[in-house]
Formats: sequence, structure tokens, C-alpha cells
Amino acid sequence: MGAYLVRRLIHLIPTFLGATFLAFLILQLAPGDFLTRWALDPKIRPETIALMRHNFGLDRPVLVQYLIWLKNLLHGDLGHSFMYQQPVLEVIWPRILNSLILVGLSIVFLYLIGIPVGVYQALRPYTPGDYAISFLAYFGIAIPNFFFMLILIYLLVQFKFAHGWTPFPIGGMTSQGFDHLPPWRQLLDVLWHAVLPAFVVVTADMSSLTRVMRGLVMEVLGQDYIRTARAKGLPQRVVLYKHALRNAIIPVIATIGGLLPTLISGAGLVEVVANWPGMTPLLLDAINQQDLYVNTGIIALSTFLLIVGNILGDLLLAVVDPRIRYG
Amino acid sequence: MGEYRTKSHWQLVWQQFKRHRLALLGGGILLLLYTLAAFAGFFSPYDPNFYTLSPVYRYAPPTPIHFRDPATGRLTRPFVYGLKKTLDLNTFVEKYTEDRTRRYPIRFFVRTPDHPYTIFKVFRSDLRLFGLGEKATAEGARLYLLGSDNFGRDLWSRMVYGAQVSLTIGILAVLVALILGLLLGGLSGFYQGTRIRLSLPLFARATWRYLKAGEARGPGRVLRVFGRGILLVLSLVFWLGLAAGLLYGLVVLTGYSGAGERVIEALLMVPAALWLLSRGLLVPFTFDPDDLVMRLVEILAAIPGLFLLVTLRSVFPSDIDPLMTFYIVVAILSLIGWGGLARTVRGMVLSLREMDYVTAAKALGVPEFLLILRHILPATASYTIVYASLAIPGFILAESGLSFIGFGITEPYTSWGLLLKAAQDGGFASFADRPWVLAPGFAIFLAVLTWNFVGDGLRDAFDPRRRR
Amino acid sequence: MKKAIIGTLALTLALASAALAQAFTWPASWTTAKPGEAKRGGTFVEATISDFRTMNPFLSAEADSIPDRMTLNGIGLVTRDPTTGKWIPYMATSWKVSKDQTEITFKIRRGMKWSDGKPITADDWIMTYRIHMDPKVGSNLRDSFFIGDKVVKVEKIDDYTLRFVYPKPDAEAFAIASYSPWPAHVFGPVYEKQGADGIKKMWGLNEDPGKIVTWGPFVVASYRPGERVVFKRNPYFGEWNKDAAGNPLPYLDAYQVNIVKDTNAELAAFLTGEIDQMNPTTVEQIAQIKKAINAGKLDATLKVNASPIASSQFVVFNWNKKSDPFKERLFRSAKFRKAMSHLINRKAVVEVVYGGLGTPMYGSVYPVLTQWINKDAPKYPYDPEAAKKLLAELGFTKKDAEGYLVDEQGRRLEFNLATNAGNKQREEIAKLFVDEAKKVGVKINFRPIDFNTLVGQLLSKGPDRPFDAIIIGLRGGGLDWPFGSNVVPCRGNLHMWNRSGTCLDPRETLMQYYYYKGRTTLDFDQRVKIGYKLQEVEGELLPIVYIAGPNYHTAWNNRIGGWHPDKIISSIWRSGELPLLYRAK
Repeated sequence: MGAYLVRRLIHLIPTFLGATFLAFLILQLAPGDFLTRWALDPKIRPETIALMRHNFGLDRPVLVQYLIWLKNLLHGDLGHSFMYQQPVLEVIWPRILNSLILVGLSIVFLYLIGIPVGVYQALRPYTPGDYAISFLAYFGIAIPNFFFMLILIYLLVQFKFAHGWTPFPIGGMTSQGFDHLPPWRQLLDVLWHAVLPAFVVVTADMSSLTRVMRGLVMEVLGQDYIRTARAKGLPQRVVLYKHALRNAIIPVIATIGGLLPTLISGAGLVEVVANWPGMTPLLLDAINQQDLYVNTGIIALSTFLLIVGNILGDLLLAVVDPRIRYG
Repeated sequence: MGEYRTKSHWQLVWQQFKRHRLALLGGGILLLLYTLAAFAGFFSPYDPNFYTLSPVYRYAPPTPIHFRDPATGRLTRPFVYGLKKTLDLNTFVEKYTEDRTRRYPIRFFVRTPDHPYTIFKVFRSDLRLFGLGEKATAEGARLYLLGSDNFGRDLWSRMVYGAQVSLTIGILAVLVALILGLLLGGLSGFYQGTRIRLSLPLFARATWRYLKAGEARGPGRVLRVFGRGILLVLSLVFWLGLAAGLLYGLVVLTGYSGAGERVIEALLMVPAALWLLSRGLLVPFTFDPDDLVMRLVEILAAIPGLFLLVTLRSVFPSDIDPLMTFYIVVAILSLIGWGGLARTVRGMVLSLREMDYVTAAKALGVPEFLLILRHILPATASYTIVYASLAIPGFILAESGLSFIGFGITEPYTSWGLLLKAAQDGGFASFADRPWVLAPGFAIFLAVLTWNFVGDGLRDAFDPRRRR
Repeated sequence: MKKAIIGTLALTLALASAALAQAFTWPASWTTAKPGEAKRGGTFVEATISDFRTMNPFLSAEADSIPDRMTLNGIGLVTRDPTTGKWIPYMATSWKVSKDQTEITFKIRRGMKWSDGKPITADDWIMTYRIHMDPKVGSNLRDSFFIGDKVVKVEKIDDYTLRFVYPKPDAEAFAIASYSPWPAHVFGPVYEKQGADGIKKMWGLNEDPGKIVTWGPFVVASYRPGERVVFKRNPYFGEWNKDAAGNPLPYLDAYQVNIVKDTNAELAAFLTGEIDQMNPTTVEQIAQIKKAINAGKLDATLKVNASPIASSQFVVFNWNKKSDPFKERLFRSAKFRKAMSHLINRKAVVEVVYGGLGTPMYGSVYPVLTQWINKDAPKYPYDPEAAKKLLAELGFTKKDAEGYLVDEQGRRLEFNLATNAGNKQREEIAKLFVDEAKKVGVKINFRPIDFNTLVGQLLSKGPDRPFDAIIIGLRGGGLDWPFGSNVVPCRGNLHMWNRSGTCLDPRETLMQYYYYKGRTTLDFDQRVKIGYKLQEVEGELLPIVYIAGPNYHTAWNNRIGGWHPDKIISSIWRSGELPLLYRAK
């Protein structure tokens, strides 16, 4: 097990270097840089822009910039944001936390709803209930998330017009006066704001999970040992939970590790429409403004998490499935 | 049972597919959608870029179609009234009313000689399924099935033309992703464990053996000797160049570092350069292609998709024909999408290559590429088909997302994503005042839904365990 | 009106002692509230589209920043009176201009205090100036202290007297002097000890708000990344800022800016009353607000078409095309450019692109700057027939098989047009232009390209530059002298049509002459006259073909009162003065 971990961690290095260098290269290949749009400001002189470019180190060769970045990384320094004039980690960190809340909640929703629904479908396949659920799940993937969120916000505004209050907040992450609330109220407040966007995020992933779950349970239920268990006269409940579900759920657990990087890459465009101060708005800003080190920093973190997530997934699998051993 | 044996694999699959009612329904709708897209000119009453400036029919609602003669009250051939526009100064929205004094019958199989179109860019025609005719258009009458956009262009015609882009973009992207995924995944799985040599070190015995072997008699000997000589030179230049580059990098880098850091940098980079040098001169460099491909897949998976979409888009030159942007979008989408397929194909190939029939073929001396092409890849076909049908809707959605942030298809072409973006730009007005502009969203929904139905049906059909 | 201020000033001056603050009275004409009507307390909530980047005034580079929000958009010794547009003393009490007009001496108002209670003196301006001027800091304001290549100097005479020394008389002298001071007792010690690096580490977004100090009406109380910044009242501001009835300002307890990255979300927030003010940008948003108001769902005031916005959209043709003499000759011809102006259907642009709520443009002065607009300057409105005639004069009389105009040698009238990809409005303008041009036989190949590539092409130098024509816009450009310092002079880096480094057309030289003449004229009325002349020459030369711009609209929730009277609501003066806003309901 230990040797396995070490090997996986060594594999991490080329992947990490490859991903960050690729990102660096793509970013630098794009025309212009952070300072290009300043050039159209009639109040700024070209000399000033040249000076800033030098100060930011943007006049150096790409490889040198990358090496310097790597060197700083060894000191735990992800570089300096051009936009914020702050260390990248300080800029990214609060956003990561915010995205974590939203994506975390959506993952909870996903498994909390997806697994039972999939099991239900597997127990009653080809019934109207099965079809209805499938259709709803399809509906979720077929509608672009950002658009679904916009529709919900519109409906909330109409609800507010009709009744003078709204069941869910219209965008944002915290209520006004949030800082003066006691901690537990703060937690509730954030969750209350997160429910709707998290729900929207879930709709897109729900169908794949329920479908997978349905298939797995159906497959397991068809196995000989289940028939044996039933033949032994074990109650349906025991057969289902003790024998079928535990085996059917293994592949699903393996996917949990893969969710780690999505935790920080954020919930996508939903965050923009729902005005959630997560990673996506920051990433879009950073790409737009060509804030080199914020971009590279996000890539570096997400690469790291992806690899760690994969390893964790493998380990989890070994824990739940005694047949799997790593040497 | 005897009857079944006579059926081929594909007949069986088709038989199973037919039982999946949703899949059949989906297939039917898709057929319809693709027919609409293919003969867009025929099914649209107007050119998608046709508009007039006097007056501008900005955001006109769908034109009401009348079936009863107002005078007699009897059923008549469908007709529309003329269009009258006023600006509502209270809400700042254009108001459109029917001009009951003018009546225009809807004509079928109408010809529009002033606005011809082409089918597949080859056949020119001006025959349209329905329309009001050129004369009525010149008089300012319009038949907007789904209203108009801010230029006053017919949204239905634009949607039908947009289908060409939106529906093909998924298929093309999947095709490219399939080629990449099958090729790289297949090679990676097949050659897993075989090490490929990437350097011809000057002072290694293996190198000289290799060069000697080239001198063996046979057809194209001169070419072979010459080619291997060039390879030797290339290897030298490449590896020594890399080492020199690294050392140069070190020199430049130390210019930006403090004294202590310089020592560390030198300690890290000089050995690295020496290693490179040794690969060029002493020890052959070999690697497992499987490692390379899988690392590549991992790297692509590590970078957030949205980031790749947007930044790759800005790397490609945008000073190009709008049609090129279409291909670029395809390229970007497939570049992001091939990794998952490659990983799965690799896994399948890994187990396939150990199968008896493959080892037998190998023992019979079947060339490797034929082995892969004839015996291994076909075995992944069922998975590939299912993957493709389920990936297409993903790509269709990705295109709409790309258009949403302004990096997708550009005018004069249009796509459902672009049209949905226009609806989104209208904000709440699109829901409240002109819900018909959401139609492209419904089209996306329909296409994604039906492709999923078909994909599910195919999966069930291919999977012997799910047969009913 | 102005007399009233001076009157109050004189009165307070007479009463002033070392202990008593000399108050600045916010004129009653700047607000719709009657004197004494305003209530105290409450919060005003606004939204902004882009996240704040820093609280550090020396590092902020974006259009909308926390330091600007704290200092009433970065004013200082002087401010402008929105009713007249003239400069009036604000943190100064008076000024004196030297005979040769190169020195202005300001008397600083006594009794002003920072939000931490320390007095505001000349040292604060001096230190602020020093830090801005340090190239290592990289302040965005540094360039504003340059006139050409020469530097404006700021000198301390005594604790309450400052002298600005200009290299020559300058139209923007007061604008330069209006920079906002920052506390020397906060920044000074750090700057002396650690230099620019020390300054750069200060006042980042995660700075403890307790350490932020300002002279302005509100000081940062809290910031949540990507969500909102809350400001609380600076109690010392009211000691020297009074309303017309003599009450201390501001009325509000707090002021909040929500960061809303999506315009739909902003509209939703305004419709549901989460934010108190917004500037709708599209006719769709206006219609939604209007609908909500009409239905009684929203108690708000909507001012539509308050004024044109202060920015421009235009087509610029490249005069430096050595590799293509045919096009170069064409683009350098004023007749050609006038013909192109005749082909731009500005009415259609306003209707299609701006939903009917926009204003056509014919010259470089923004239509909102009414004082500066020379109505008699030549104009070339939409007129395809006139365009045809001008093109015929240039030799384009025949048409080829595809229906495009050709000259005697059979060369087709064809050029490329670019704008930045993703800018929907510009792309639509280009489409209208292309389609109109096609009707008279001019072939335009339109391609939207990446913004940075576009800027690179536009700003490239030399005799052979890589583009034909570009649609782009500019912002900025002041009320003092609305012509760009790097646009009009032939060596300027935004002299976009000709970057050969020299004037090619005698009218360019003349424009440059008028530019410098106006720039070095301190007297406003005289300067306006020179501006008129400049516009006449510009109209003859037409170096840039202007198109049209959207209008400025504003809406506020009636919970908040104290807005500008209608006649001073515009894209320049905005909808109100922050210290005068109050919670009405």
C-alpha cells in the first residue's frame, strides 16, 4: 500500500508539470497580455505601460517566467495577481471556500437523491414511475444550467411581485447584515442561499447517477447469490440492503474521488447567473483580463486535487471492496 | 432458438433497439430535425440574414395565421394580415398590430427568385415549402412563425439554419474525438509495456547495432542507411539542444534570483542537464507509450474544461472566416472530449490483446496495424457507438455554453447557442414579453433529449445482459 | 447659485477660528430635497458589475474602485459644480492663479479631519503626490501629473497652503489639482521606511477595515470577496460638510455596494428592492422596470434618455498602407471617408442596436458635452446618393459582374473591417454598415477579431500597418478640453489613423495646432472657441467616422431621496450626490 502511494505520488510530478506548463503556454500564446487593454486608455502613456510590463516580468521569455513561477512555488508562493495586486492564494482562497459550499451541497443532494431514486427505478423497471423519473432526469441534462438558473430567478421575481416575499433568495451568497449574525444563523443563511443553485447544478448530473445506479442494482439483483439469498428466505429488505446495495454501490464510490477537482473549479456558469462569488466568476475575469498567475494558480490547484482525488478514489475502493488490494 | 442463430449481431441489436420505445421516438425526432437542417433553405420562408430597415421589424411577435374568412366566417386557405408597427412610449417596447386592410395568403411551394439558397453548398434553388412570396415581402408583409430578432430577421428561418451548425457540431466533434480516442487509446493499450526508443546515443552499443542492421541487404537499402544516419544526427541535435536550452534557462533564471537560490537552482538543473546529455550520448532513452498517453489524458482532465474552452479559443486566431471558427469550435470541443474515451478504449484493448483470438492472429504473423484495425478496434465498436450517441448531446450543450460566454459561432452563421444567447441578453423581457425567443432553447432541449434516448436505447441494445 | 456658496464661505471664514471647522455647504440646487426635509440614518445599496481589486488608492487601476467610492470619485481641493460645470473650491477655500498662469496657490480648508480624527494638512497632499509619482509603485494617477513630458510639481508653502507649478498654462490645471489626498500619517512612515514595496503591501482587500482611513463621507466597514463592500459614515466628515440648512452630512449611516456580475441578476435585485439604484443599459431592462412600476410592484423613479453616454463609437481607416498604394490613397482621401460617413445609417443603428434609445454622433466631442459641441461643424449624415456621387468623383463609376464598384483600372472598391469579437453591439453596427455599403457597390469584408489583437493592430506604428478599417470606441476625455492628448497630436499613440509619426495632411497639422492652443489656454470661454475651430477642421478632414452611442438612463427606488434635479441628471453628473442621499421611507 505504501509503495503504491509513493508510486502514485511520483506520477503526480510529470502530470503536474505538464498541466501547468501547458496552461502557461496556452495563456502566453494568446495575443496580448494583461496590460494590452490599458493601451486604449487615453490617459495612460505608452512609457508607463512598458514600465508596468517590466515590473510584472511580462517582458521575459515564457520559459523563464515559468521557471521562476515553479521556483516560487517551491516556497509555497503561487505568484502575484495582476488584477488584485495580491498573492494569488489570498485571491483564490475565499473563492475556493465559496465554491466548496455550493458544490459540496450539490454533491450531497446528488447522492442523497440519486442513489435512492436509482434503486427505486431498479426495483420497478419499465414501470410508469421508472419512465417518469428517467424523463425528469433527462430534462435536467437537456437544459443548460445557466439558463435554468435564469428561469428560476425570473420565477422568484414574479413570486415576489405576487406575494411580497420569496421562498429562496434571489442570487448572492449571504444576506445583508450577515456579519452581525451568530455563527449558526450565518451557516443557515449561506445554506439557504445555496439551495437553489445547488439544485440546478444537481439536475445536470442526476440523470447519469440514477442511470448508473439503476443499471448496477439491476445487474446485481440478477446475480446468483441474490437468488440464493432470496431462496434462503431472507427478507427482501435484508437482501436489498445487505447484499445487493453494498455491491452495487462500489463503482459509485469510486467516482467520489473524481469529484474533488470539481469542488474547486466551481459550479460553472450557474455561479455567474446566481451571483455566487465562487471560482467561475473569478476564473472568467482572470481569463478575460489575462491575469496570468491567477489562471496558472487555479490550474495548479485543480491538477493537484484531481490527482489526489484519483488516489483517494482508489483507496476508498480498496476500503469498501475487500477484493481490491494495492501492492 | 434456432431462428435467432441465423441473425447477425447487428440484426439482434436492431431488434433490441426497436423494443426501446423512447429510443425509437427519439430516433424519429432526430431524423426530422436533421432533415430540417439539411434542407434548411426549403423549410425556411426567408433567408436567415434577410431584413429591411424601413421599417425595422424589431422583435415582432409570431404572425397570427387566420383560417377563416372574416367576411363570410367560412374556412379558407390560411392567410396573414399586413404588419403595423408603433412604439409604445410608456413601456418603450415596439407594438405590432395587424393591418386588417391588407391580406396575404400563405403560399406553399413558393419561389423566391430574389433570395435563392443552396443545398449542401451545391444545388441552387429558390423553392420554399411555404412563404408569402416576394411581392408581399416587398410590401412589408411578414410571416414570422416564431417572431423576429432585433434586426427583424425571421427567427424560425434562423433556427432552421442554426440547426445546421448545432446538430453537426456535436457529430463532427464526436467524430474527431473518436478518432483521437480510438487511435491514442488503442495504441496506448496495445503497446502498453513495450518500450519505445527515443534517442540514439552516440556512444551506446545499441545505436551501432541499429545502424549496422540498417546496412542489411534488401530493397531500399540506401534509403535506410541514409535515414538512420539522419535519425542519429536528429537525436544528437535534439538531446544536446534540450540540455543546452536548460543550461541557458539556468543562466537567465539566476539573473533573477538571490545568491542562495542560485545554488539550489544549479543543484536542481545541472543534474537535469547532465541527465539529458547522457541520454543523447550514452544511454538510450526509452519510454512506455502508454505512460505518455495516459499522462496526457490526465493533464487534459486536470485543467478545468471551461478554462480550456475559453483560453484555447483565444489562442486560435480569430482573424479568420466565420466558417473557420466553426471548425475551431469543433476542434476545441473534441480536444477536450477525447480523453475519457481513450482511457476506456485502452482498458478494453488491454484485456483484448490477451484474448486467444488475438494471440492466435499474432502468431500467424498478422501485421500489427492490421491486428489493431481488424481484430481489436471492432471489438470496441459497441462501446464506441454508445459513447458517441451519449457524447453528442454533451457537445451540443457545450456549444451553447461557449456561445453564452461569447466564444462560439459568429455572424453571419448562427446556431441555437447563439440564438439562446440573444434570448439571454434580452433578460427577463425574453420570458415576459417575447417568450417565443426561447424556442432555440427548446430546440437544444429536444436534440439533447432525443440523442440521450437514442444513446440509451443503443446501450441497452448492445448489452446482452439488458436484453429483454 | 455660485454667489450663495461664496457668501456662506465668506460668512464661515469670518467666524473661523483654529478650533472651528470652515464648512463646505452643499448647495440646495444639487438635490431635489427641500432644505431640512432629509431624514438621518439608514443604508443606501448600489450594485457594481466588477469585483473590487484593492482598497489601496495607489494601486487601484479599475474604473470603479473602493478608494474612489470613499472619496466621491476621487475629488480633492476642487470639485465641479454640476449646475455649471465650473470648478469650485472644495477641500480648498480659495485659490490664486499667478500672472503667467503657470502657478496656482490653494488655501486649504481648516478643521478638516481624517476618519481617524487626525487633522488634514498640506503634508497629506504632498505625500500622496510623492507616492503617486514613484514609478515603482505603478500608480495609475502618475501619468495625470505629466503635461507632455514635463511634470507638474506640488509644493507646500505652509500647513494650509499648497502651490501647484505647471510647466506651461494648462486647460486641465484644476483637474490635475483635484486629486484626492490620502493620510500622510498612515502611508508616510511605511513609504519612508520600505519604499514602494511597503506601499504595495498595504490596504489589500483582506486588510482589516479598521486600518482604512479616508477624508470622505464613508469609510470601509467590511468587505466580502466577490459579494459586497459596506461603508459606514465617517463622523468627522460632517464637521466640515453641511447641507443648505446647516446639518452635517452625510445623512445615511451606511452605504453598500453589492458586486453583481450578471446584468439580469442586477435587474432582479433592483426589481425586488435589494438594491436602490441602477442604470439600465438596454430597452428591455427599461421596459421591465417600467412594467413593474406601472403594475405598482415597484415604487421607483425611472429617467429614460437622460443624456447620451460619454463615450464614442467610430470607424477608423488606416492611412499607413505602403504595401497597398491603392488602399492607402483611398483611405487618405477625405472624400472617401465622407462617402463612408454617408453610408452609415445612424438612425438604423440607434433603432436596431440601441432599441431606439441612442444618439447619432458626427464628431469627436461626445454629444453629452453640449457646451463643447459646435453645431455648425460639417456633418455627413446617411445619404447613399451623396456617397455614390463622392465615390464617382474618386473614379468609381462602373460596376463589375458581382455588382461592386470598380475604377478605371478595374480595381474593386473593397476593404476589410474588424472589431473586437464578442462585442455584440459593435458587431451589429458593422453588419449594418456592411449591408448598406453593399447596396451602393462597396465590398466590405467584416471579421470580428480578438480584442488584444485588434488593439495591437490599431496601435502599431510605421508606414505599413496591418489593418484596413476598425470599429472601436473610446472613453475618457474631460470637460475641460474634450480632445484626447494622445489622439489629436500626430505623434500621439492613439492617433489611430496615421501612426507614421508625422502629420500627413495639412488639416492634421492644423488640428494639432488648435489642440495645443486650447490645451494651454486657461480661460474657459476662449478655450471653447478654439474647440469650435478644431471641430470645423475635424469636420473637413474627418479622420475618424463617428457612428452613434447609447443613451444614459437611470432608475432609483423611491425609498431613497435627495437625487439630482432632472436638468443635472446626465452621464457626466450621474443621478445624485452620495452625501445628499437620504432614506425617505
